Amino acid sequence: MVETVIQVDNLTKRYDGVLAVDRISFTIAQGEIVGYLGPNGAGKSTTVKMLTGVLRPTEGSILIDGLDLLKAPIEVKRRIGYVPETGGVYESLTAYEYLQLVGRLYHLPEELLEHRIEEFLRMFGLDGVMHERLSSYSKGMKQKVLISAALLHNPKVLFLDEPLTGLDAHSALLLKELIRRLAAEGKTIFYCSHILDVVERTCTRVIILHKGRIVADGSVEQLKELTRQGTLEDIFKQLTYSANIEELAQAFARSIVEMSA
Amino acid sequence: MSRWLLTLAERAARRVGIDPHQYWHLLRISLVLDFRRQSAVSSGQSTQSALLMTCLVFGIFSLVLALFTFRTLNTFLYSFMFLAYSMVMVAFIVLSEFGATIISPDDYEILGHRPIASRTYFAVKLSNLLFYVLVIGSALNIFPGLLGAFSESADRLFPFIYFPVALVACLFSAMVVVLLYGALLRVVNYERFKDVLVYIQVVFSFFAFFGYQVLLRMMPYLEQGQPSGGHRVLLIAPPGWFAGLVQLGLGQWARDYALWAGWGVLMTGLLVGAGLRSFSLEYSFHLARLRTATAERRRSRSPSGARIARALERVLVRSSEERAAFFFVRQMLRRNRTLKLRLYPALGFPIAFLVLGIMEKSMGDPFLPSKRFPSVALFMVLVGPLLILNFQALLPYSEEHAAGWLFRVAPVRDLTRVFAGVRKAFLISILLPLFLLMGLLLSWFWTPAHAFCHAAIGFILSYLFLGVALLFYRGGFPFSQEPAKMTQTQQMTLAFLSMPLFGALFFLMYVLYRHPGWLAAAAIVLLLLGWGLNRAADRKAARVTRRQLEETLFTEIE
Repeated sequence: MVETVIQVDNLTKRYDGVLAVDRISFTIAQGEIVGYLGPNGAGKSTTVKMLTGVLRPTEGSILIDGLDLLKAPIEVKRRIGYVPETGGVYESLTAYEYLQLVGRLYHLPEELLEHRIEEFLRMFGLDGVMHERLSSYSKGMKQKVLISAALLHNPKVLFLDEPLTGLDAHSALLLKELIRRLAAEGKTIFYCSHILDVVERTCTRVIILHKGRIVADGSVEQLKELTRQGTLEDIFKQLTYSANIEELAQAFARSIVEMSA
Repeated sequence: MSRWLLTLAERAARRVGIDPHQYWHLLRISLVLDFRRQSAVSSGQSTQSALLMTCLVFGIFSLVLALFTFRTLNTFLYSFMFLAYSMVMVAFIVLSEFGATIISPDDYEILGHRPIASRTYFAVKLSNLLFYVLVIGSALNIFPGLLGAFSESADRLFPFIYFPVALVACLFSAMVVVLLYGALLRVVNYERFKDVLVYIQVVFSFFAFFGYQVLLRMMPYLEQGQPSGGHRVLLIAPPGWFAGLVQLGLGQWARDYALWAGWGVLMTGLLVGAGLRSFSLEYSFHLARLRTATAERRRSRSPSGARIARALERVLVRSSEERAAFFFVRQMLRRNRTLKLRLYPALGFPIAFLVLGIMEKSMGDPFLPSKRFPSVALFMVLVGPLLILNFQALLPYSEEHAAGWLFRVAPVRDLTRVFAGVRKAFLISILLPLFLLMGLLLSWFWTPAHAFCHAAIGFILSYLFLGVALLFYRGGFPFSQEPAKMTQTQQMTLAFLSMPLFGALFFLMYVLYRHPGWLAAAAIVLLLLGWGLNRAADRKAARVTRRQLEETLFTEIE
């Protein structure tokens, strides 16, 4: 029997009366790669922040690896890795020092930590620059460091919020393959993204969020069948936009031309 | 009438290449952004309250200083002293708080591709800066201006002459710093620019402190001089130009005053006219260059080069979380420019006292009986507490604050360990080398045993003070909050308000040196007390930070 690793019940987040996430519930099993999709402002990042213990939910419960996040946040945090969408790095540190800081916060033994840092940075092609300060790194290089930091303590669950941002084609391919391999090894991946074709090709299951509520949950094939659409993009359009995209674009273009005339 | 004036101003702006429409909207937005920007957690303060608090404290400082001097100094010296104080404070604040206002390539990323002329863009930045300069300049000079009217030699016109001149002097001071930025930008890239700026600020702070000490000692001699003859030397300095202008405004005509006041007006005109004109034309170009220039790659010391230090670390910081915080803070203390900028100038403090001690022949050994009290040696030790106050105020803030998410995601069970690591990093990286160096320096004047004993007492007292200062820490993970404009100046100012604590330490040292027999026992007691206070401070900082995390997390994230 496949073990349930993430269990979310009636999760709600309200900011000053505005409902960002509205009573969502789902379960994710070990080894699943779940794509979490939604238009801007749908509540994706809020959900991820609640699942990683960064943000306190207004209502609902989160169980990760059988542990209640609200009751045992430290134990849950030990089991998860997180690549934030807009998380910075301490640029005064070198890549090596940054990963060392992360590893120590996760209580990794020094020798193992040293070995892993060197190994991870070598795999991402950063071994030649690991003693240079992060301020001199490009966006993609910093992203590689963040991904390494998320994997350093060998987490059971991985939360990736737009992890391909800034990565070159080669590194993006490497990461996608890595995600599949990690899932095959039994890791659970929660993948938040706007890039629909990557989600379609990488994820075994897709959850679509719209205005804080789940509007679809299933494998891409199941969703195609259900909505009678050809691609994930079509499914996404159908579920999250009330207006016809083509008509909307046409009206927009016309208004720009008319305004300048 | 107002409409006519507005049209005239718009025409004048267009004539110098500024788009008045864009200027007005950009300026409004830049000020709105400043005042809306809240510091990350609830304990942080907005620019508005920080500015108000800074003005209040500056106003009180000036009032106290004016109360002590307005009956004793003549109008020239009185004006000179307050103008010098205001100009130095304004220059320092512009250097430390507003570097990013004038030179911010990040801003340029948002606005650079818009059709905004270089001059308009520069005018907005400059106006934003001048707004703060005028507010702070007013706070610094309002009370000295009013009290000046009641001094012996002044008439009731004094405030009306002094106050506008003081504001012009503050603007002059700010302009000099802006032009310094301009000159630097021409020759160095952004990374280097920031480094150079740090060193300039360090040197500036040192000279400001040293100059202040020298000025205080010169005052009695200057007071004995005749109205213009004895002050001639002061007219060479920029505050002297403006003090000369005040004298002229009060109808005290003298050739020197007229000459130097005219020089001051000419220099201000040249600065605003020629200097800013050329800088404003190239402003966008320089920012674009900063944006595109690749950061200088700097190789840090490889881990293999620091084996001894690492072995020492393992002994001193045993838990993993403590080691993480220790190492992190140690590297930030070494590399983070803001930290260096705000901590290192204080190192000029013992050097300045040492120089003054040599000049005044007062480098007496406090362990030897002497008629003259060795105040210089005792003052030198106070650099420790001064550094501690600055460090405590700076600890939560950093331009790299966006990386602070790491601490919130990491499974840190015991936050006390994090703060223990922070404290140990400061003790080992800053205080220990400082007092060792002090012992070494003092060995030139005293026996090495006495020199190092004095340094050890300084270290123990600083350790004790660290515990006290950290007990008042307002919480937050290290370097994980956004520094809002003016908050740091405000905290520094508040730190200076804790001067009575310095007085208490000074008194404690005085008692110890008067009773050398107690020294060993007192050192042990103080060390134990320090240990207890430091442990309590760790627990308190952890508790406050944990509460902030639990209560206010969502405002921080969103």
